[in-house]
Amino acid sequence: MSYVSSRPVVIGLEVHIQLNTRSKLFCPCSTDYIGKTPNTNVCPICLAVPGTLPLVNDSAVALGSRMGLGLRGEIQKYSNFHRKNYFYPDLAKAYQITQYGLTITVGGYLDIEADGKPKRVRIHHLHLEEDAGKLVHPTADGRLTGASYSLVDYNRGGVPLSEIVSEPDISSPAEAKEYVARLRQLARYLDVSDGEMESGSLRVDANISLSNPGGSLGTRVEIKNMNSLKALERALEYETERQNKVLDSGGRIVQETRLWDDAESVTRSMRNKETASDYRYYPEMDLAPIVITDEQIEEFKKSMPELPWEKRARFAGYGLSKEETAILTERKELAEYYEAVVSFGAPPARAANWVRMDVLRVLNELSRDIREFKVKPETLAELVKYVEAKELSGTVGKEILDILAREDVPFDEALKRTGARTGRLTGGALETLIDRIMSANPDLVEAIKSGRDKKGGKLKFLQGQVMKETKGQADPRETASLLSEKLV
Amino acid sequence: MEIYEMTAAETAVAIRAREVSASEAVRAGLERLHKYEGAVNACVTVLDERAAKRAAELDARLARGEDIGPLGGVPYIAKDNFCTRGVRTTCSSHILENWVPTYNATAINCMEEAGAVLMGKGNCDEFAMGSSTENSIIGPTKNPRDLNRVPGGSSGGSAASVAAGYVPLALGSDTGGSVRQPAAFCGIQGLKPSYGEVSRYGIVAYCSALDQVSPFARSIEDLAIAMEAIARPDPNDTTCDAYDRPVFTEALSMDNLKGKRIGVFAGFEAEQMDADLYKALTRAGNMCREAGAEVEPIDLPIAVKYGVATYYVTALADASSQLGCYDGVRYGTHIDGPTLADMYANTRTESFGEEVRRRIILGTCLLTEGFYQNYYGPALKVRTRMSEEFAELFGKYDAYLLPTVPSMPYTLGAKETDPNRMYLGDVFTVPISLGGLPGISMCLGFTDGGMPLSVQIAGPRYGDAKILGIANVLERMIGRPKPCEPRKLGEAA
Amino acid sequence: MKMTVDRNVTLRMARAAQIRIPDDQVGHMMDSINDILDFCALVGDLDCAGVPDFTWKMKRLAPRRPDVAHEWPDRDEFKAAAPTTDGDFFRVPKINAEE
Repeated sequence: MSYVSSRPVVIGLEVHIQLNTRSKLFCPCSTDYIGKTPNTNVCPICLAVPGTLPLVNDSAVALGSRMGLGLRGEIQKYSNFHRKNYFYPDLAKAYQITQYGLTITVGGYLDIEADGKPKRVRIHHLHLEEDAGKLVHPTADGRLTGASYSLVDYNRGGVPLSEIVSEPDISSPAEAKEYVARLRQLARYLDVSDGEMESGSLRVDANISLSNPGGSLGTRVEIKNMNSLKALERALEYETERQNKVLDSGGRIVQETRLWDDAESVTRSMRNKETASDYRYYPEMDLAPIVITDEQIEEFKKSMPELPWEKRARFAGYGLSKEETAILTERKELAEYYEAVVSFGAPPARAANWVRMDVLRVLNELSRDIREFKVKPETLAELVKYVEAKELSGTVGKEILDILAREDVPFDEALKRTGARTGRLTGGALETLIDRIMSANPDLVEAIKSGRDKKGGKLKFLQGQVMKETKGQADPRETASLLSEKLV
Repeated sequence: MEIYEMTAAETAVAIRAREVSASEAVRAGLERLHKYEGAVNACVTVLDERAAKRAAELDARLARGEDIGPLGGVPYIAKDNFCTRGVRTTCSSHILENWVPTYNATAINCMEEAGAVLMGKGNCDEFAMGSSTENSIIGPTKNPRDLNRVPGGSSGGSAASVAAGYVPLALGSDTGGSVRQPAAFCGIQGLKPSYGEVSRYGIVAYCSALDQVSPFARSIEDLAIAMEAIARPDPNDTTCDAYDRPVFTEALSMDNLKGKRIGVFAGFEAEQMDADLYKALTRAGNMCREAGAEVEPIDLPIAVKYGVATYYVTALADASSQLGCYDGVRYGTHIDGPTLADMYANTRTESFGEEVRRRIILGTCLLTEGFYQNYYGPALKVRTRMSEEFAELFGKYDAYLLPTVPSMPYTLGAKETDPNRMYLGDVFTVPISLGGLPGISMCLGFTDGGMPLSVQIAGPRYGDAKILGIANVLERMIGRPKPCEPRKLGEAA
Repeated sequence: MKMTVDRNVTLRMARAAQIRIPDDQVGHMMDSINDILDFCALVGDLDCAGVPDFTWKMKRLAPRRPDVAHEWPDRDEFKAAAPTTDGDFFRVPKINAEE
């Protein structure tokens, strides 16, 4: 059970999303920096070589605008960049180019549902900014030369981020988690970002405070370094409890930045980092302003795909439960897959079950993404139809799906491998088989007939034998009724 | 006429006509340089071999009948804050004393394309911060018109090179007067183009908001030719305007100022500035009238009153940010220390000169929360008011005459300590910079004592061709400045 | 509004600029900053109510850079220019990971 705060919790989130561009925000270096040799994904611009000037990536502007529109914000026809000046070795220019004041979009909101209650989280603005490089801290017992030094890799420096700043509308850790989950879903629907928190494509900084009695805002604490949705929720729960305890014991909350330590499950005060008031902002004069025309705004609007909440509303038409809909629409690609299966004639409810249960199970087993799923929607539709028509048993169907998902074989081949054939075993054929099985088990038949099967285990065994022999192709109810007729 | 006395246009024509070879032109320049460089100290780096080799290549191309460009074979000097591939670019600072760029500034590429031959890198105040070219790792440059005096700055080395006849053409960068003021001090012509006219790519920045690549020459025609070479859109600099530039030399066909309306600065009393320079301004106004222009006295109250303060806030703030990249990590001088803060402080304290350190700290202060709201923020709004004032002015006038400088070049080492007088030195150049306007400082002859007189002609934004035309009419009336034999005036007298 | 700095603020500014001021020069630097602050306070005197921040107006804006990635041809030039490296990394004095 999570901690229940005795004071109202006020949370605002700053979510950084790495934009899906090919090149960095201000130079032509690739954004695909993970795993590259240090300092090979760099050029004079992102290394701040004297005399170089930044050049804004057009796609970053487009993707930022798109995300802002998805959040129902307003695109600013005129925005500009600022410099945020501070020294740190991962920041080559000693300033980060970011937007401040005149940002690419302003306003908007995201509707979420937490603990079964709908909630609207307002968005303050969305802005573009560049990422920093990375520091590596060799340990003393590691490399000989590394012990007294830190190392800098600028491969990530300059990768485009969009920062989405919410209003402090979030009132619980669970809401915060849900907000980020919906934001990530939206970014993925819009093809704006892969939204992977583990790889750092999505990063969250949280501002959390507890309201004073009387409703005035308490002192705000910033929490960083939460690398998963779970970590976000846990960090905020921890911090809620910590702040309550400090206040309960008559203490005061210090305005500071704290880091979440996932292993120890605590937040820790950060030492020595410059605080926000020490950053020096001023307009970036190396860049012409970003001007977005009405035509471009229209284009962005026209190119918007169906958004998650629109898809969810439409999926209600399939007669699915809220939970099923949520799972199927979590990823656009899964929803599209599901709809393709339905379009090939699979009954919506059955198809939903298959996709939600079996497709996701197989993907999970294979650690694959739906985009890499080998079973074509038409094939799954076919499979669902066979099972639905009782031409194949559910068990065989699953077996076939497993084979198709792992191997490049045609449907018929997979079917053959299961030993089953389409068409169910019934009537005379089934009766013949049952007779054969009965004659192969005279002791059991005798025992049942003489009433020595009180718990029905022996009958079940015979039924099992039938199913095994028929590879599940016998109808269980027909089998049961035939058996009971013969065993009276 | 000796080769060194020729303008860039004359040199290029002579080379194309095979009267002089590119090699001879470059050799003449280098000879002149070596003769006087000991006294003038204008260059951080001299490219004897490289320039000779390039001249020989151009001669070979010419021999094959190829077009070697409008400045084919003309030697030039570029201020040492222009990045030059394979040639060290120091900005006259210890922090970059061994830094060799791997790319050329766009302006350098443009000059190469036009056929000009880079002969050396001009001395300047460290990171272009200063107005005397005294704050440099190679020591001060001296004014060839009087070696006891400063050449002005920050592009003093480039200006002195042109005045002393090393080269007919040089490039500098002008932020708040760094080309116009040394042009005035050295008795030559200098143009600060409109902001956005020339690419800043590859110029080691002092102030992104104001820096502009600017040519020096001994004739207005040469300035126009240089502009044709360097003023063009550049995909590497988004603050460089993408519009199609006029043909600058076409503006030179104008032979009078009939129909022109010219305003003459009337905001100062005679006793507020050097008497000869005050008279020079009056004389320039009279010459315009003689040439047929309608001339009226005007004032620019906002620009003159608030210009210098606005400029300082803008430029110092930018400088503090611009010089943050010199942290001893990726390039430049690195002085180690036990902690990161020590390494930063060691590197930056020991490798930047005193004036640069002072400006960085001042700029840091101006951008800090609280100070920003009272200084940088208001300055941004004052600039808007100033540009409105200029817009109104240039709705009525084609050009505006004002002094370039209020005083004659000061003696070497005579550091101005009175801040108010120091600021006064920039009072006529910075408003033009803040307005993004083009400004030409041209030589109006010399005092009886031999010191240069000057006037500044400012025009509307992107009116560079227009003011080149007007300056050219005046130059025809008084003649263009000639290169001098560097000397000490006091001794000569 | 005119502002001034004291010794402490002067030292804080120098620290933020990562520049050291020797003890005997702090006073001089403080005076220098105060001179500028005094002179430049002028920018607050002009009535700029409702006036927008200055930006450069351009005749024709250059198109934004198309999103095409390409590798810088010479990977070694950066290492060659670096004063201190360790393998493929740039090297700086040890930083506490939590700093």
